[in-house]
Amino acid sequence: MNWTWFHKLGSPKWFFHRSKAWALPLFAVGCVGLIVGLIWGLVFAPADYQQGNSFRIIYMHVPVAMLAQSCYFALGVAGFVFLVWRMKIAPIFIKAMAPIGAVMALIALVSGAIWGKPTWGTWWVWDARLTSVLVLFFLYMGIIVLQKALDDQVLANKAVAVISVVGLINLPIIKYSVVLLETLHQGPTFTLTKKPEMPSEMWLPLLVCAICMYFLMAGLVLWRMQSEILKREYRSSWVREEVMKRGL
Amino acid sequence: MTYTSFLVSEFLLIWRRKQDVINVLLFFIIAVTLFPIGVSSSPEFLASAAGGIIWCAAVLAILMAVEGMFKEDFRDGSLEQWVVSGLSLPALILLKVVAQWLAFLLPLLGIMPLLSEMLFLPESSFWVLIMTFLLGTPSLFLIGVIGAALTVSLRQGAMLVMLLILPFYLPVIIFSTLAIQAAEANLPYSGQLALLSAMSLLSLVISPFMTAIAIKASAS
Amino acid sequence: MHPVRKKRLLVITAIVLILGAAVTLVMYALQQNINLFYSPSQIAMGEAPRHVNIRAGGLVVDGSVKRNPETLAVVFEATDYQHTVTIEYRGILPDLFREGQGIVAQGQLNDGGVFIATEVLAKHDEKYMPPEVSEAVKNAQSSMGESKASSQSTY
Repeated sequence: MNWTWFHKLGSPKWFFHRSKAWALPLFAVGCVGLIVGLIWGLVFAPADYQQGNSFRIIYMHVPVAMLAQSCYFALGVAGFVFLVWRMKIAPIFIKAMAPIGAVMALIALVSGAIWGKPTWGTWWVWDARLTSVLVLFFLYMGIIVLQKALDDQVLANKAVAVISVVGLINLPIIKYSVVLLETLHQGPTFTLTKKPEMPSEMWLPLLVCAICMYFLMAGLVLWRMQSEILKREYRSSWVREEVMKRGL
Repeated sequence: MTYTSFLVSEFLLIWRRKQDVINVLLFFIIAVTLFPIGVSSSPEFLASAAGGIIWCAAVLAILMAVEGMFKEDFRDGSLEQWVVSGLSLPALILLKVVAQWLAFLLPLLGIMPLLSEMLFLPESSFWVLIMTFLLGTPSLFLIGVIGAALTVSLRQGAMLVMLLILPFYLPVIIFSTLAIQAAEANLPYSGQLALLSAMSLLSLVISPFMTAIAIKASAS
Repeated sequence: MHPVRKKRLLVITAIVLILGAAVTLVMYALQQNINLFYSPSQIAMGEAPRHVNIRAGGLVVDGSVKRNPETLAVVFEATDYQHTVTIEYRGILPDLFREGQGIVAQGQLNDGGVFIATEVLAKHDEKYMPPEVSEAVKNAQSSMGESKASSQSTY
């Protein structure tokens, strides 16, 4: 297998030039798709036989909750990559990703509470699933705060990488809390092994929402990473050239 | 420097700085007394909440103890000495954690009978409380030192350590109090104790290496 | 063996052993009932403790819900298709509470084996379907006879 792409990934310059063209299209596709998916789900998809229209919040809740976990997984992997290979781009990625993940976890918690009130009859229960997502939100906040507090860039890079890796332990707890512990939360909506337990006119818009949410997030992360790269590499000549070329 | 001389000097330092241990103990006792005064002093409430109260106060006290663990070593340059000593840094960290754990846990356990009497903790669950402390607190110390090492170079690191580390402490609190509640209800509590031990073992594997990375980054 | 390598091997073996022990302990813990959740069968078998805060779950039995018109008190039965448990509750039930619906109740078991709930929450599963489809499924099922009802998966 050819690993040059992996080594090149370590160079912020290479990454900047490669990813520059990608951010906007990804973001645009994500935005348009998300709007289409949401309108499809919120207006055209049929209501649930038990929950009626309140089930429609699934089109917000599930994609966001999936992202909140995927973002953290990505953070943990990036942290690991940084600790092992000292790849320069990894801490930039962590810094760009953490606030997005925090917002996702927060939206997942809030939309879940709004959904919980009419269906379960309570805004909040202290069961394993909900508590572990709350912890996930705290972890994101911790990473953001740590990043802000440490002025020394080298130390900050290492510190967020360490805490990201350690926080990975929370993910299996979230994932399997609904399966192993008897929680109030229902089982996973999408699994790799089974067809979702609902008709296609219900899960198709959900799938569109989820995938487009990933695109949206990818676009946002690339943007944030690019500006972070420019900020960190402002001394290097290629950044100066870049700025001159644009006539800024 | 050898591992033995390191451990001996650690114990000596703890003995010279007895005040630190006493401060944490006092904090622990005062935090516990907040609950009967602030929430309710009825024996029924206190008896059912005693395990949770003691654990919450203990977690905060331990966090205080752990937070400043490397502060002095950082200031007087010992951290750099560890890094260049040629000894394994994770092993040194582990030794230090063991020393600190013993130094804080033994007095903590010593005043436990007094506190459990103050909070009307049922006799049957007293030994379960002690067991949750023995099995659960190692992971608190081990996780805590990661945060302490990450923020050692900061002047105002205490708040940050709390923010970083408290989320990781939640499972330990949850399963400890569940074990005590189960014991009060005459239910089996071995499952909770097993989980506490598993968490301590897991942090035993992860923590020394992560702390070593953090110390190397901070010391240089 | 080279001393450095020997040391490394020792460390790795120790880590693997500790991790193995941790996994074994977790496996053991998962077999225990940590979160005090009992099914109607477990309650009927007498496995659940009395006068202790526990959680119970099951499906609300059709036609078992009796409401007191003057107070908010409600009595119903929950089942796991093998045993049932009577649940008493005083308070506002969630919208999704209905016969055949999965519920989770928090409360205590009294000496008569009646579950006195302090909180009743509706639990729904990850199966969603439009009303027309559920109507069709129900019709199909009733034409196949009542015996099939128990083959419906528990929530």
